[in-house]
Amino acid sequence: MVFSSLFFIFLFLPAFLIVYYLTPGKYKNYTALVGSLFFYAWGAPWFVFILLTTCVADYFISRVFPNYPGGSNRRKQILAVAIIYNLLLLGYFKYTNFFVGQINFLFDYFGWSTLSWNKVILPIGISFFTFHKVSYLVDVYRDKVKPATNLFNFLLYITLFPQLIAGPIVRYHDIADQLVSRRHNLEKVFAGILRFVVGLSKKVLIANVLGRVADTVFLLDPGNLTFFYAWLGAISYAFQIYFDFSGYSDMAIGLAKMMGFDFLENFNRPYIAQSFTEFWRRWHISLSNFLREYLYIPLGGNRVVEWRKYFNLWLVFFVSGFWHGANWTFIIWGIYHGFFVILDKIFWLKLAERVPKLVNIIVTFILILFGWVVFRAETLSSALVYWGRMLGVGSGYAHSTVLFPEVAGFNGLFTLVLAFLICFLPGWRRIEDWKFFTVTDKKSFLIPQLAVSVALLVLAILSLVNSSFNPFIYFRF
Amino acid sequence: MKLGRIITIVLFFLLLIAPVLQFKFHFFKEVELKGVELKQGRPGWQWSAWVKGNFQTDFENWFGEKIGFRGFLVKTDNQINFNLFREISGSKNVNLVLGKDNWLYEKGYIDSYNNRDRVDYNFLKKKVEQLKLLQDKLAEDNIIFLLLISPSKAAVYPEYLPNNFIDNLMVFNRSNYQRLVSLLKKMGVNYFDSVDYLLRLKNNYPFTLFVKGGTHWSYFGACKISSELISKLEQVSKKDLVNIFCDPSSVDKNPQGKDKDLADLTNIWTEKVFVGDTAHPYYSHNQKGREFLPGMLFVGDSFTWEILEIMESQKVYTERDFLYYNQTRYHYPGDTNLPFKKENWDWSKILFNKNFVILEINQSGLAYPDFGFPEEVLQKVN
Repeated sequence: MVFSSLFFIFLFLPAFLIVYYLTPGKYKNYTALVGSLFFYAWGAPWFVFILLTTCVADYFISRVFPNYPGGSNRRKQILAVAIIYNLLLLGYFKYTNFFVGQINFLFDYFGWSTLSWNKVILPIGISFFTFHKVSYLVDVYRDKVKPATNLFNFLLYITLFPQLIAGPIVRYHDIADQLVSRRHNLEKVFAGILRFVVGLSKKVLIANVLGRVADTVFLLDPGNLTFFYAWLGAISYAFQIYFDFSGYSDMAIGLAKMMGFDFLENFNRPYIAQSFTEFWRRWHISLSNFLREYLYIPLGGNRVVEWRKYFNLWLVFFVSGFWHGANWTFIIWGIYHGFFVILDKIFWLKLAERVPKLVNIIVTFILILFGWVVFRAETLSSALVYWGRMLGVGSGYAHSTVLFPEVAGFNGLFTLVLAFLICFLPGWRRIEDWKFFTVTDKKSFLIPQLAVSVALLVLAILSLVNSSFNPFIYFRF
Repeated sequence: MKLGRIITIVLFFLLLIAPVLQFKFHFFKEVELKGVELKQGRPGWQWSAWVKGNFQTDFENWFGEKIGFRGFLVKTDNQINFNLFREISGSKNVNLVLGKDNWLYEKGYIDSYNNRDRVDYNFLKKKVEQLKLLQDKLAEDNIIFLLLISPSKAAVYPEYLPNNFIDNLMVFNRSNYQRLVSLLKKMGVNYFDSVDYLLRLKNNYPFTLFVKGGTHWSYFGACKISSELISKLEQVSKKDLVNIFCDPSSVDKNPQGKDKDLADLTNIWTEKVFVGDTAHPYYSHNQKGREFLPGMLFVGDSFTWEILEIMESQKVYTERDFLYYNQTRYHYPGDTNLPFKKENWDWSKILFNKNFVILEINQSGLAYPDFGFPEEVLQKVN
């Protein structure tokens, strides 16, 4: 079940919200938990049992921590066991196919018989809720928070459906108090609705449209992939992934707000970043926070010798890449970003201070585009070919047989321009700035807020319903 | 302020639950959508289907089809795309292109016009050789074979194609159609090139031979084709057949039958913009040729239907079989609308009892030119 599906919007969400608001305050968590479990079971009907079992194990492990003094070996061992089995679960479901594939590639290369293997199905959301569990265990281990007061609150933290499938990655200490006590009021529901609507619109009206353009370009055979199409595809994909991901985060934040939860922001106009370091303070902020707090700092962070600091950075971005997907393209993408972050530390940030802001933004964006190509490509070799086209290198046809309207019609072009304006122009900050879309005391904002929100919701619904209708002219046979 | 927020919240909930309430209680009459949709029936719940995820997928698909106000929402979205972006978003399975003066084209025909579907010469040669073999084999049983090449709208009316869909570097290459006609002439296969015929006819009549909002030839165009087809069959068979006449025609803006099949697929509110002046011919025939009313077998695609309709209205033949894409059989008289599935075909009743076999292929379909019919028949006779 995805947030932008008809089933979620017209059946699950209204039914859930009605039941949730009618539930007396002290039982609301149970309603949220039941709804969340149903939400997850709808998409992963058998894995929900594994999720529940491991959550119960994590809960009881966390309750053991207070029995041992902080910093004691026993405490560390328990934490290590808990983290390892959670990561093993993630590793098995997400990465086994990849590793078996690599082994078979090597075996095949040496002429040995390959391993026969039934592909493991990847349970949805496993990357996110594994990180949530790690966050909980480490926070309790560090005595940053007390263990969850009851099992159901802990289960709710892990399975809360707004953030279950695609984040944001909510650290336990950011939400622990809200699980026990949070406010439900008109302002929050109103703000949540507006935020949800904006997120849905970003996903449906911008990301989906540009996704079609990007998909068309990335499917072109190398001969038809001209310099122009290559850049068009890369830029379209950059906007697609931003509006898709940030739109989904907006919907998650909005849904959580409707339930009284306050999640932290996950995106902050990342494409105006002037360096890769700044980009990662603006892009998928919850992931950056998680990796910094639970990986980079435990490795020593900045408080180590230079070479070790760079190694730590490299390792964090390697993990980040690998976490995104089980394919060399994701790993290389992570390493690519890590390389530029390291360059920032060595000299780039100092150099950037002497360069005009606009130049920094353009250079950073172009380099990020090249990274997205690797992220999007099916294989490293196709990414390299694509890079070649972007640089005007390689023998494509002088004239592509694919016509521009087949790649991006007027709708695609219009949406591309709109996306560009939203991402880059300073004046558009007010559109995306949540001060405009959150609760405001200014009466003059209220009517435009309502009008724009209703219009966006209606347009998004129109597009979603239309996408479900795929007629033929006649029956063929 | 508080009131404003309450209104927003109520409005939000109303927008979310309205479609389900409409589905349940049918407060308003649903707007009908046109086009053939593969429907998902309501899935019954089964544990095994749930565990596999099939139930969820089927339920979501079913829910999407049944949702209230669907027709209204679909048409409105399509209308917005049409007005704002001049794009036809109504059909994803059949890619429609909006041409000048609101002429509609199927993308496949434009691709063919741009020579995107170019096949190997030897492939075409082999196909024509097979047709010649078929023609000769059938002639042994006194059955006349004729290939009818039906035209693509893009080829007959390229002037309405949008400029940005024409590939000026490819469009002047020698097309499959041109190479096919050369081969047919060279190998002596009986054929009727209706592409050339309509292009010559185009300037002689004020009526369009293709319909603005349809993918097929107009009924006037089909009537002229039928008439000329009979003349060709007379030439080849040296027999008198019933001749069809298509004049005079009434002209109006009332599309009939398949006249607006593409326009229907757009599913917009203002689909009248795709309707132009359409000639509806008055069919008539002469009395000669009544002594010999043949049995005919047609093999072809949807272009054949109008020809059958016209010929049957003038009783050109006694009996007819139509093998639609060589997959489904329709018989006249009697079971005209009852399709027969292929596993029950009896070739002695379909083919060998006929006087004429007409294989219709579209000039844009030459990558898959003959529906496998010649090969199948040749296997049967050998």
